[in-house]
Amino acid sequence: MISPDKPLIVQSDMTVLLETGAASAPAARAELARFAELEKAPEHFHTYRITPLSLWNAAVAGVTVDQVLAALTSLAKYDVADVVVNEVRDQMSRYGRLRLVRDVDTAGLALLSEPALLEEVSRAKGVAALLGERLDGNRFAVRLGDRGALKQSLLALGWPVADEAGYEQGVELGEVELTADLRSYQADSLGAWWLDGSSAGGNGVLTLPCGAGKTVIGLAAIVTARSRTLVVCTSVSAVRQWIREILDKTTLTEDEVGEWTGHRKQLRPITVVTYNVLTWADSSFDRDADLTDRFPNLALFDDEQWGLIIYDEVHLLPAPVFRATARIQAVRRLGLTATLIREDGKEGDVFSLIGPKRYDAPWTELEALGWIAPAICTEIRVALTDEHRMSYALTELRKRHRVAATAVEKLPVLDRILELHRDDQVLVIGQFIGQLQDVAKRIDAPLLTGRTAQSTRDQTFAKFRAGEIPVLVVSKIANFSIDLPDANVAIQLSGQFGSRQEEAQRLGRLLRPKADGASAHFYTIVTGDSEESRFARNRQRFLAEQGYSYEIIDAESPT
Amino acid sequence: VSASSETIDYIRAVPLVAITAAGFGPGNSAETTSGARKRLESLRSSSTGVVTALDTAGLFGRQLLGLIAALGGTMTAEQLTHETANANKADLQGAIHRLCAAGLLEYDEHERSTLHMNGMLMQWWHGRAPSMEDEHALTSGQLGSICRKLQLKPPSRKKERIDVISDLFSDTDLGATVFLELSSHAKALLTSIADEAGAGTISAEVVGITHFWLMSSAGSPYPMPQHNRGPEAAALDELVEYGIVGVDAYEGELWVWREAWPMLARPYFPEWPAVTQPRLVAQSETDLRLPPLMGLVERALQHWGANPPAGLKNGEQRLAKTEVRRTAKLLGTSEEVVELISRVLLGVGLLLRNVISTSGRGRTRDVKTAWMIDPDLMEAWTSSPIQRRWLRVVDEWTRPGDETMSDQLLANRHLLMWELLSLEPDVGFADGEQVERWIEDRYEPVGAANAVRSCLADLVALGLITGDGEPIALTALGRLALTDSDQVVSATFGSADEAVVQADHTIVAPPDLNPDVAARLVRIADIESDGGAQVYRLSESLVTTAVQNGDNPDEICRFLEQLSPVPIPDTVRRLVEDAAKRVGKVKVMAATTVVVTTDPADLITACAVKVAKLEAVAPTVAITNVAAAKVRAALERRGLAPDVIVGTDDAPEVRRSSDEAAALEARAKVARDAAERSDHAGFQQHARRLTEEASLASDPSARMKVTGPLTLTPDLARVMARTTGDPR
Repeated sequence: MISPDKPLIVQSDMTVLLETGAASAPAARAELARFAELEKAPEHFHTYRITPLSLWNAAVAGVTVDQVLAALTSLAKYDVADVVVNEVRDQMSRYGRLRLVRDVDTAGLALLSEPALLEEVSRAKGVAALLGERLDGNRFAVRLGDRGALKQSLLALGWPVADEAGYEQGVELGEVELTADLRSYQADSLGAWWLDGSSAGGNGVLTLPCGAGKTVIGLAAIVTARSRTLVVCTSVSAVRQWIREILDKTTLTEDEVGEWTGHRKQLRPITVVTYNVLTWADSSFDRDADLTDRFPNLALFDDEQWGLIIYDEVHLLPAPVFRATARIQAVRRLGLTATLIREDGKEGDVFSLIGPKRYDAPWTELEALGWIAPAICTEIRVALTDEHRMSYALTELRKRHRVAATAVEKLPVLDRILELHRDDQVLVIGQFIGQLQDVAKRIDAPLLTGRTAQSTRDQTFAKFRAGEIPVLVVSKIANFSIDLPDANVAIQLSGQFGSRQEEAQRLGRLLRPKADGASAHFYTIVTGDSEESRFARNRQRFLAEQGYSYEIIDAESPT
Repeated sequence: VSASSETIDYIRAVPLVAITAAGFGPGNSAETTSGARKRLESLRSSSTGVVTALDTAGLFGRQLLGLIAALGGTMTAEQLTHETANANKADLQGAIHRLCAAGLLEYDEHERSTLHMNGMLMQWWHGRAPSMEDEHALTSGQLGSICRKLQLKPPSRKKERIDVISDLFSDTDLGATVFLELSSHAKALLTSIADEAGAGTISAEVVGITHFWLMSSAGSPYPMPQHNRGPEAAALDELVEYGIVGVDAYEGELWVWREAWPMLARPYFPEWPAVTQPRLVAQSETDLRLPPLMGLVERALQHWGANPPAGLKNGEQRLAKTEVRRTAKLLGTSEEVVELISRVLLGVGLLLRNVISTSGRGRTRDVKTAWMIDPDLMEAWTSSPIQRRWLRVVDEWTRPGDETMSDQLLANRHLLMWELLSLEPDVGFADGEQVERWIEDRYEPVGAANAVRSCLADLVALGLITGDGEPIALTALGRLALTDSDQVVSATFGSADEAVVQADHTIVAPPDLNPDVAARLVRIADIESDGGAQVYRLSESLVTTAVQNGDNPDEICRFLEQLSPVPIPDTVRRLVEDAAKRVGKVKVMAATTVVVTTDPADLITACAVKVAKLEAVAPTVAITNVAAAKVRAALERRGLAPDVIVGTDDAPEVRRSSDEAAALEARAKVARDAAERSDHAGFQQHARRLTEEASLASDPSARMKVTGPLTLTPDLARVMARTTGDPR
């Protein structure tokens, strides 16, 4: 049976295509959000994927098999294949057959299930070592520290655990309130994470575009949990930005908010720390040493009675923090990101340790609602001169990307763009320091790189925010977590090979909504017919999948 | 129990004989129904027919036959009731019906409802427990000893001795008395032997009797010194002395004498195998839709056209594993699918073996060959509608192939298709593994489960049956093709000719996309998802290959514009242009290979490719002794996408089927001349066959057609049954 007006196409490989132009698309999107993950959202058909994890999370949230199947069959253009129906039934029936609970006898945890299933999973490689004594036919003892690792191993076996052991409340904060208003999607995402404070909620990842106010959601989570909170973020600038936001948008005072970085070590009810500080390794220990011996700062996770840990830019979570997180499953966890893409493919680890993706909003949808600025993406291709072309050809393969990315033919194009946007706040972003130094000198603009002192960085960013500096040249330090609300033009001169995540994060610097509602412009200058143009295509994929389209134009011949 | 002797029941019971008779079996070519009828008659009554029927009797059927053989070839209704008390009644009834239909059993209701085993089969039956009456079973002296052990006065004649022993064991009370006299070890050993051997023989090792003990046992003709004999050995001696158990020390086997069995007062087989009929579930009707395989076929042809795969030195008609692996990686599919595609395309003749170089003499002579596209047949292929191309692929899969294709493989394919065709259109088998076990039991020739699995995988890839976890059943297209292939060409496939082209290079098409449009799409895009809507992703390398093979980038863009109801994004247009731009920047020429570039920088890049061993002779020209194809492949790997211009003088001539036709016609003419001079029918037949082959070879479009049914269908079986009549 074919119903052309309906919005969904349910594929037998468990993907679901949502036709955005259909009248009932918004309703279908709301339904899908309950049990499927948004994979990509190009302009006409958004792709969702129904995974075992998304179905188990739906089951945690109380969604039934019948509700999932009713949603799929009632909204699908074509008949839903039996294989999809069977898979939904099979996966959802698995949730809850294994339960992790507090055990009164051992004062630890216990894994409960029917004897046959316990027998099956306890024989699996990787699980046996994490199980303690068999208490009776239906129970295994589990050490508190193995909670995360056990859940991860069982998940890999295809047996999700209903974790009913609850959370440690942590030291409670005094009266604290949020002084900013939450936007509707921010409130929705917070609700999807908190789940009314039940043990089913309180962990997970929220995926929202850059500029959509993820920090505010983090603040709302602190206010909602009302307990001591550790915030982990990417850089000192980001730490200070978090502190600024906390002081600005909550009733917390300076005495209650601490910075734990290379510069200051303040341990306070709300402590903001960088990944770098946490993963500082004591070289006197070898690689096989205990995690907290080798990375002494990771003790910060355990030593304080945190009630909530917030992981900003969770897609950057380094491996030692992964392992430390596996041990603190009794603490509520919130991951925030715009681009949950890891080039190492470890997105699954993020989900199993921090928690499932609880909320995801298509970028273009928020753009249409005016919550993020519309962006115009343009790729400008430059051609190398004959002389440079020959030089490029003579370069060994692994160095070609650098040669193409730093081509001087890009500079006249840069000048023309700057001329075009002389009244705007422009970021010139690049990967290679030498290139950026030349550019900064050429256009007489300040340059910020990893080598720039933190105080200089803070001052320069402040001046840029205040409009005193119209053009800022930045290296990859500006890829993440830097809030530059008035930047409305970005010119990308070079990037890290084909990193999709970097491209999206760089565009994200421009997406704070502008006061006049104007569009942001994102320019990428690429050397045509080179390794760089190949990488550029890959870099654009994430944004294309988010519904952004690039206009590709050829620069006039440099000669 | 009612036995049917209808021919249609025979075909149902032993489809393999009918499949062979209809021309799909080993070593046949499809025949007319009248030819099939004769062959069926002949096969059915032959020893081949009986063996085939036995092979397809299943585990249960074979056990039942073994039981009847143990009973001497006939079994009364009472014996049946006693012996099969533990068997599932429905399984039993099904097995008897099938064995009767297959002609392996005959039911005689007048003679105490007796089942008689087929005489020919009875003669051949091996493995049943020996009787004391068998030749060389026991000597008269040994029988005398047994009589004395049983406290019977031995009669003078051997036959009479056997009769008195047999009578004693048949008497319930006397038999029980003998059993009670046995030691506990002997009773336990007897029970073990009876459990394991039933109506047959077993290896002595199974019941813990070592070869040494067997050699030294009372029944052995090779008595050996008796040292360290355990209680089992003594128990065996006891059973042998009583005439209950027989021993073959040479073969290492044991059995319970047929005459002694009644003493045990138990059926021969305490357990009967359960016949696992795969569970049937409702199967929703599928759309008439060509499988994604056809896209892969086109892509494979495109790839092999540009990079002719090397022929194997042993001359086998298949591609090397490395080539299959490489192509599978390129096409983004499994090696099994590429293997299937390659065998089919080689079978159709689209790829012909060409000699590309020869060197050496005598024993050092080295001939290098490559599979190259036959231009004549390729033209016929591309001008055929895609439905016909698909039919031709299926046709090739169902026919006997070259000498490397085993007869068994072909039989397996047709048996599976027969079973699937026998299902109602609205049901399917729920589980593939159950089907594998069932077929493995029902048709012994199919053998291991993986043989069934690979056949099922082929059927899914060909689009004949449903896959992807759906119940196993014929697709609408598969049923149509197998029952009436002519209908496939005239059937209406997807009529949709629109698909949405998106900026992330994906193209979303409805399930009913016109197959010709789909075929065009797969030349430039990978299939990402197919179970519902069809999702493609434009691929730069595919666009490059398409342009290398003659597509025009503007035409590709125009095709996408016409296809998409929304404007095509700039990124898509640029992808096509960029991919096309790479083509022809470098040119490779044959002879001692010459590489010419339009850009000196490209030449430097080309010269850096070590495999090509290029030496620059001018800013844009380099030469090498390496073969053009190898240079081209190496440059492609570096991303240069060269054009190849084959030299007009020295380039090897590409074989064409029209040339083959001329050679065949010449042979046919010689045969016709010979036939004219001779009255011998063989000459006439040979000339006729060669003339037909030559005619077929000279008309490539005829070779694209399917000329007969693709398999034995129930309809065809009914026609055969009607015309054959019942030979009894």
